[in-house]
Amino acid sequence: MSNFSLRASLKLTGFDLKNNRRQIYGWCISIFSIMFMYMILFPSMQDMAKIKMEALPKEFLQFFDMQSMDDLSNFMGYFGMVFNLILIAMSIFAASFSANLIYREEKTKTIEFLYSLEVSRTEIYVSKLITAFAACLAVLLSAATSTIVCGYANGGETFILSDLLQIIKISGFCVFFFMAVSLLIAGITSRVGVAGVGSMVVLFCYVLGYLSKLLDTKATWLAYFSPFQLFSPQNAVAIEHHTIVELGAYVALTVAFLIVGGVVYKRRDFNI
Amino acid sequence: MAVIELEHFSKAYGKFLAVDDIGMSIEKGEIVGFVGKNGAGKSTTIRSMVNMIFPTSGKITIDGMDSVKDAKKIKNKLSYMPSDSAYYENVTSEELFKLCLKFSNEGIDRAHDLAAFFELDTKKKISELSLGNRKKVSIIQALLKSADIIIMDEPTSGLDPLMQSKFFDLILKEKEKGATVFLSSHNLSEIEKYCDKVIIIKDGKIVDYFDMRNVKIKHKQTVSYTTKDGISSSYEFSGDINSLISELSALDIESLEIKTNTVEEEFIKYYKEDGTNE
Repeated sequence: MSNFSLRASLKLTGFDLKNNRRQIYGWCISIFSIMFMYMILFPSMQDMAKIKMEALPKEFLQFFDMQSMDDLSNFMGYFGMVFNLILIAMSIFAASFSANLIYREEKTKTIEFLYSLEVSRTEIYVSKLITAFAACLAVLLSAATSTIVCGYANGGETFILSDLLQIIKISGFCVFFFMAVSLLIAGITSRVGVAGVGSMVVLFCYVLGYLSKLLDTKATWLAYFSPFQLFSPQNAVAIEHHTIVELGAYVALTVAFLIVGGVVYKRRDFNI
Repeated sequence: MAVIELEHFSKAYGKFLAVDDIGMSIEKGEIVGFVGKNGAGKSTTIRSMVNMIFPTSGKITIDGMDSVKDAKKIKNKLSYMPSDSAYYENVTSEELFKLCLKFSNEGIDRAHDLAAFFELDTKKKISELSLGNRKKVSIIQALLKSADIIIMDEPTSGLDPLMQSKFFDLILKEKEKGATVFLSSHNLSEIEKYCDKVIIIKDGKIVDYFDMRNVKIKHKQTVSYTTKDGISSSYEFSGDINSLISELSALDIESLEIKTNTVEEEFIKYYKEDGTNE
């Protein structure tokens, strides 16, 4: 790391962000719009939930991380359900976008241009990390902004800004975790479609979380493999001691993934 | 002093040995051609020199620095032009040059001068450029900074003859400034014309080496004759020309042709599947 220069990484980050701006804008606008569309419908969903959805099986509610239809009667409960689904989409974006930042450079051989510049492999890796982080943060903030706008518009007393920010911070961590998973995989190899693998990991983790609830006491341990479950909006608002410990463990794991990805990236052949 | 030095360098991809225990020493201020057919190991060697890939065994030293441990330091002195002119499709060459210049002390004027010299429209996006124009982007990018060592992988492929000539004019100017140039090419006549040394690689091994300043000593001659008895013969000869004359004088010759092989003819033998230079 003695040759590392954050300035060099930031120069590359600026170029990367500019180069990928359409994709980032596209995702931000999509997430903002979807979130807005769902959240602006909150008053009508409130009524519909009571009338039509009460007959739904418990398993269906669990899939959306709800205990009962009462969750839909307040803004934050409804947001929790919607955010749970949006979180999967944002995590898939994080996984595929981050992976492609590294993978595509090698697939299209642009890495030969990039690495001909006066930068080290570590500086390239860090620039990709910063770009991925900035893109994920932008998408997450789009969801938050959209919800805040709708919350003030039609959330009434059930809209609690502090709870919303708590959910964005804790549940939103999933996005950065899957970003790190993809950077780890792309750092290790670019011989497989890393974006696809990263997205599969996202879905697999979600399914594990769902199974842990579905199987109840028989497989609660499965939840430890699912950040979606551990840091669900409900857990994020309740923020009990075990959630803080689990969050600490996942943050440590995220950092470890990023470091291992960077170390391997520094030592492996570029696949060109 | 050797500026580029390879010692027992090998590179394997799994079980396939792409480059097998080669060595070379390139002196300062030389233009060195690296010749070999596709798959011979040229790009593997060049990519290892610039740390795109790592040697399986052996050592590569650039200006006294280890190509792996001192990869970033080496870049202060080295310019690299890859064989594939692969760039981001939705950016202009001007934007690419600006990014390059962020890492060197040169101004954008240098990029504009080179673009004008190569007749390149820097406002066009990469996706709108032809292969030849993308190659020009590569060349300009490599020559943007004043490097002591310039490594180029097939720099002229895809360029028209006029641009090839312009390219070598620039390379000769860089040489005059003291730069060392190492380039691979399939264009044997340009190698013969501009290179001080030529290294030939075949099946991952260096099979021949020419110092072009002394190459006439090594040149072979093709001797073809027909005797009055109607016997024709043609063979390659190298060595003392007097012994050839005395050998021929013993024959009753009707027609005789002695042709000195061009260096290009020597090179091309290595492109033939079973060709050897012996």
